Amino acid sequence: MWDPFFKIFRLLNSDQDPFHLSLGLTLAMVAGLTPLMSLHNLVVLLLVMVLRANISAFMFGLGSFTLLAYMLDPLFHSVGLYLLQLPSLSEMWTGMYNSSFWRLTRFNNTIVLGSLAVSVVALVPTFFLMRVLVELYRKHIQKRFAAATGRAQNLLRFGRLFSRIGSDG
Amino acid sequence: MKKWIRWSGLIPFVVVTALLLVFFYFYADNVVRKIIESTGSDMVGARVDTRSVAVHFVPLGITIRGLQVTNPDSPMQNMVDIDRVQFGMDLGRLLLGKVIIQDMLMDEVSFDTPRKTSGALPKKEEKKPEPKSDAGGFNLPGIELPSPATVLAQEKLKTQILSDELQKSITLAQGNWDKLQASIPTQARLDSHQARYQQIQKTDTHDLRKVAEAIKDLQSLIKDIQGDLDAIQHARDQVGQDLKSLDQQYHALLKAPGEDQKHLQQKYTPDTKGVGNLSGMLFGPKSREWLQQGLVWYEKLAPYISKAKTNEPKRERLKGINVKFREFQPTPDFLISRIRASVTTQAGKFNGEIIDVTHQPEVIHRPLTFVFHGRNMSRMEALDLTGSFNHIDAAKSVDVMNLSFINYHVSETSLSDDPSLTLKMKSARSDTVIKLAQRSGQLDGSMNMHLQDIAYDNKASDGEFQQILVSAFNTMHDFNIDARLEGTLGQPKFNLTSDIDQKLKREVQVAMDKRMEHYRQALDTEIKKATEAQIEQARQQIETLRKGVETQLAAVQKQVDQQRQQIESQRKQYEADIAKQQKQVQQQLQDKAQDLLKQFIH
Repeated sequence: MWDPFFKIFRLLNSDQDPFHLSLGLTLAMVAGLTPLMSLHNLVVLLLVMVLRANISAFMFGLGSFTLLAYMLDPLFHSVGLYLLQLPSLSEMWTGMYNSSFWRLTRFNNTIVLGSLAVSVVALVPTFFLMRVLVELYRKHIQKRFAAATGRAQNLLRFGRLFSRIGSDG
Repeated sequence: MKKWIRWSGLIPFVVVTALLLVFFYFYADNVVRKIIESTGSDMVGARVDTRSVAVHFVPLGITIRGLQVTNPDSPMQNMVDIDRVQFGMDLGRLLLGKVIIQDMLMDEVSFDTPRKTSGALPKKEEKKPEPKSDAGGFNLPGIELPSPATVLAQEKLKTQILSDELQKSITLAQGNWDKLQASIPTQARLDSHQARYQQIQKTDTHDLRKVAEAIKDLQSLIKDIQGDLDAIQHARDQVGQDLKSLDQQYHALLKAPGEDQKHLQQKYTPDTKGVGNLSGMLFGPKSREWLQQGLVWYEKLAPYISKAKTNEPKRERLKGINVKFREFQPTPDFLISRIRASVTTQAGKFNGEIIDVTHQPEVIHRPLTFVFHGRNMSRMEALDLTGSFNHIDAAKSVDVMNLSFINYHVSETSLSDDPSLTLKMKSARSDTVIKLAQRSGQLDGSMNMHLQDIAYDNKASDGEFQQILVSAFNTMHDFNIDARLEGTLGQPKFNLTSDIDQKLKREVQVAMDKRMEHYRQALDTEIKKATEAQIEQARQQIETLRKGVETQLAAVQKQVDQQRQQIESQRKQYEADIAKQQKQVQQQLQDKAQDLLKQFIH
């Protein structure tokens, strides 16, 4: 349960480039907030692989943002419905609706479009915000938390070992 | 800024994508098979199994072998069993989320085939069988007759009642006669009349004054005798009335045994009204069951041939709404343009086509139609099934189905499994025409079935009526069954009639008449035995009374009449004598007067 936390702190404490970390977290935001089995997430996956995004950060971010997505579902639905019903975009949607490729993207689903729109809008600010946060962490908090994190992790490992011996006995 | 691109990252992406594609390519069959089986099971409410499913990618198509759809009401039977279903799909439309099948082939479709294992869904609770209502039972009227002796012991006969009343009347008439006897002249009175007469006869006829008095006496005697005659007549009238009443009662009593016999026969004649609805009892429950099943399946299929009434898409949590836009080339989400099917039944094989199967007929503006024909089938000369489901305008939907069987060879068919009456058709030939229609929820249907060359294997374990029915059935080699269907889908009204009722009634009536004739004779004998003596006794009593009255009155009457004649004759004699003497006196006076006149002249 606590492993992801330790992993992200290990990542933050490592010498990984903040750029790579924030890129991984930002792409995870897109994949996490939008329904996973959508065509655009194949593109996100390609970007994670080809761009130098940190994969561990992406995995951590994917889980976190997926949890967040459940809470934001009503918002995504409202945004998607608003966009799909916008008269000025109607012609564009109609054109896309008659295209096999765009239908594969499920763009006409309120949650898919709403979550994608929100995540795309938040893409650049999130990237920079994440980068700033990583740098701030490393500058001000890293030293204080690194030792504590290491001790906590060792304690946790010891506890696990102890409980395993107990159950075997 | 570090290097942005990680070309090595492409390799895992390509590998993962390729693995996914390979996985889908090799496991598509199983995936599609699972989808078909689970979706089908959800739709039907019982297991849907397939022997194998093969997905073809170029061109895109699916072949399903051994598709078995379990009958949810009978899990050990397949409702439909199709050896092969093969169809191709439009990939472009499929990417648009539309399943468009141009041509579907259904090979070896058969119905009601047995299953090796139960097709009930594990979680589904077994439907408890509904208790059978008595109305659907096979209740035959009982015709057991009590013995005539028992009937007479139980029943108060009209003959007995009339006999008792007659006895009372005879007693009353006898009493009346006894009273009247006092009013008719006695022998003493007659002797007194005779004495008075003889006294008058002694009158000196030369003395006119005495003769005149004798005439007066005679007139008085005549008056008395007339009084006696009136008394006799009065008595005769009174007794006559009583005897007439007794005669009427006696005649009513004579007819009473016949009426008793008729009444008792009517009362104890078995009620054969049940025969009038025998066709309903034999064919009604089965027909209603078929109709009910048909309607249930129609309602199950309805969503797949007609769009749901609400156009508002239902939002599911975390799934959002799929907003629809205008299509440049509108096509339904699901369409099978043509299904070619070869159907195998116990009656033989027949082929046909179903055109335009879609739940959105308003998109293609064509109704679902179907045509099936079979000729020279193993157990049928011809089968024709045609029809259409027109739900283009859901509010004005019209469904029509016409089905006809020509010269269908009916195999062993049980009409009744009732232990007391087993009716089984060993063989028969039938011509059947079924017409069903549904117009905006209103049902309109008819069925005309003519069965001929019927051979039976009927048995009646006990009960005379059952035996009569069996023999009646055995002589009936053809009959018609007609059914009407009206009402609505929710409340269908089904009415079944057949000339089987009339024919059976006739046959049963003949048999019953024979049987009742024997019973009538037995009842007749028993009633006669019970009432004959009473009637004879009454007859003798009346006869005795009549004879007594007539003899007595006749004797008195005769005497009185004689007296009256004598007296009348005497009176006439006296009157003649007086007249004669008056004439003589008159002549004498006339002669004397002439003599005096001559003397005076001379």
